[in-house]
Amino acid sequence: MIPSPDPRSRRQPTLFRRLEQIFTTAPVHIVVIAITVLWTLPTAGLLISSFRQPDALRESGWWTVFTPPFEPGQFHLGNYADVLASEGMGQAFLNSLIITIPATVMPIAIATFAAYALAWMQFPGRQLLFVMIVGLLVVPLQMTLIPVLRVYSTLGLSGTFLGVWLAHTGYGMPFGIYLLRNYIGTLPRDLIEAAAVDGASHLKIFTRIIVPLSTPAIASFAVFQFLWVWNDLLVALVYLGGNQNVAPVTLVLRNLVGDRGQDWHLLTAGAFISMIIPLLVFFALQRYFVRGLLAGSVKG
Amino acid sequence: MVKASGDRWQPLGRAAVPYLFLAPALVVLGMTVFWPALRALYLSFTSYGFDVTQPPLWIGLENFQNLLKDRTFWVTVKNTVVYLVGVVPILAIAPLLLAILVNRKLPGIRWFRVAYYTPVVVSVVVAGIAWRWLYAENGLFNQFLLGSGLLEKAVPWLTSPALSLPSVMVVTIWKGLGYYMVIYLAGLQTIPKDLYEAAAIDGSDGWKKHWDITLPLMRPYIFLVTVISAIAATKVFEEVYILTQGGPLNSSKTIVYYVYEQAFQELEMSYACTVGLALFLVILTLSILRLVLDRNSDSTPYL
Repeated sequence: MIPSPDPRSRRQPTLFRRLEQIFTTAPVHIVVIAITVLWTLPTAGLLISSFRQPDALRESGWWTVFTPPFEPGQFHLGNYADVLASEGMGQAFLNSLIITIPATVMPIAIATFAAYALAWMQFPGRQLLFVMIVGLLVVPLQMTLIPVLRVYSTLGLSGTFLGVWLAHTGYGMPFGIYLLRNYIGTLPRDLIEAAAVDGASHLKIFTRIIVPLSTPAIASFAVFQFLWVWNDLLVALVYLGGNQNVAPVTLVLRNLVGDRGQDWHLLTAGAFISMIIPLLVFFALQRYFVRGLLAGSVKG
Repeated sequence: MVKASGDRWQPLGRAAVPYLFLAPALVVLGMTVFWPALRALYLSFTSYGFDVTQPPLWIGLENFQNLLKDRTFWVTVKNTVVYLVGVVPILAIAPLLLAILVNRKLPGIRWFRVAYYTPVVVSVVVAGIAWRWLYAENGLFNQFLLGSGLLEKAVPWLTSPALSLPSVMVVTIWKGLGYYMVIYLAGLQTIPKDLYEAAAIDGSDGWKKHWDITLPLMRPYIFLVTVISAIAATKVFEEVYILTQGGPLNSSKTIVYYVYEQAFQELEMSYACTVGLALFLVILTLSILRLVLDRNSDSTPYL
């Protein structure tokens, strides 16, 4: 550690400095650690609870596992097995995936096409259209629920996956177009013009140049949209209504919270499983999440 | 604004191409956002509700008159304002302090990230389940307070009118802290290190250097976070829905929750649209503020 040729003469000041450093930074470390522990508490409690026996779960809080005597035997994996085996929950996870994947892919595809047109094509009304689309960011989605639901009822779309896909696609669209248009607009002009001079059609430029080069922006939009749809409760609640066959995890968990008692062991394990996918998506694509966030993410 | 000099490479007869690229987006947006928003505006001038087979009946400004007289509505406005005032300053300042604290090499920084990002990533439903355990009558908070002798009686965190809204606010802060910290961390990366070195020579060190350098340079980020968190706070729904259902005695009912309740529990559809319009006006004001700030800051690399 000490590069000096004569360790003795150097060791003392170094040690002193290290001690000094420890003492000056200690308060900072303690504060950071304290807040961090506090912030971990709710989810840590959920994790611990999810491994406890159903009876114990009902009788005492998760923090009691730390009071002696400590028995490792009180933990088990049964709750997870029950959740995965129970029909409602397994179906709910499947539903969440069925809802989330198309509701992420559809807006990406549609928004990228539109963003390219708005960034690189010349046509009357381009500027106005872009301003209007971005302006729709201001509309709170809560305002649109009733008229959309009315149309869905007449078309038979309420309680169907298609209805939820369409709604999420629309609600995510202004932010997606805004983010992608701004990114695609910064791509090198020479590249696109050169391709055009070579006779490439718009479609070819789009698939060969625009999409590959826009991967970072597409990824940030994808992370946002995925997390948003996966965690959504309101849209599912309104458009899927009471139809349990198509209910996503959030809705099923919420109903379990409602009827207190019996199913707390399913609730904790289910809640934890529902966290795993967003956490994986987030930590895998963290970089893009931060970029998208800085591009200003306000939606719904 | 980027201008495509593409006239040359766009033969006549291909004039429709841009619109073909835009068509799917415009159709979906028109169906789910644009038309419904206009329709909601129209519905707020009508009587429409319970019996949805009846067409909306034009009643002019009656809903608006009722709105002004509606005590519950004003309670929700007050609650939303209290919520904004309670949540926004904390979410604008605390994440900045935290970002400054951790914007250095710390051991275990990975765990630190997990701790703060997990609340951001989990759904409000899951967050609500986790927090109910802490808030419950025999929950961790009460057990701790009673056990340590600080209190004699359990605190009804979610079931007393005085505490329900603050308890919901705590969950929002818990969930939002990591999100805004990421914005601030990105901002801190843009401050050149030599500035601090120069300041150190001038005798500005420790927290003083943050007052002298960090704070002024982070101002655009602070504004950005303030407005983003204000818009988010105005739209708060799910926290309330999971934790308190607006109760007790409307003490934690926010405007958006009221819209939901009027529309889907009271089935007063057109009145819900009127309340929604009031919400829209608040958000419009905040959004205009945000656009103005966006334009004045370099903080948004995609603009």
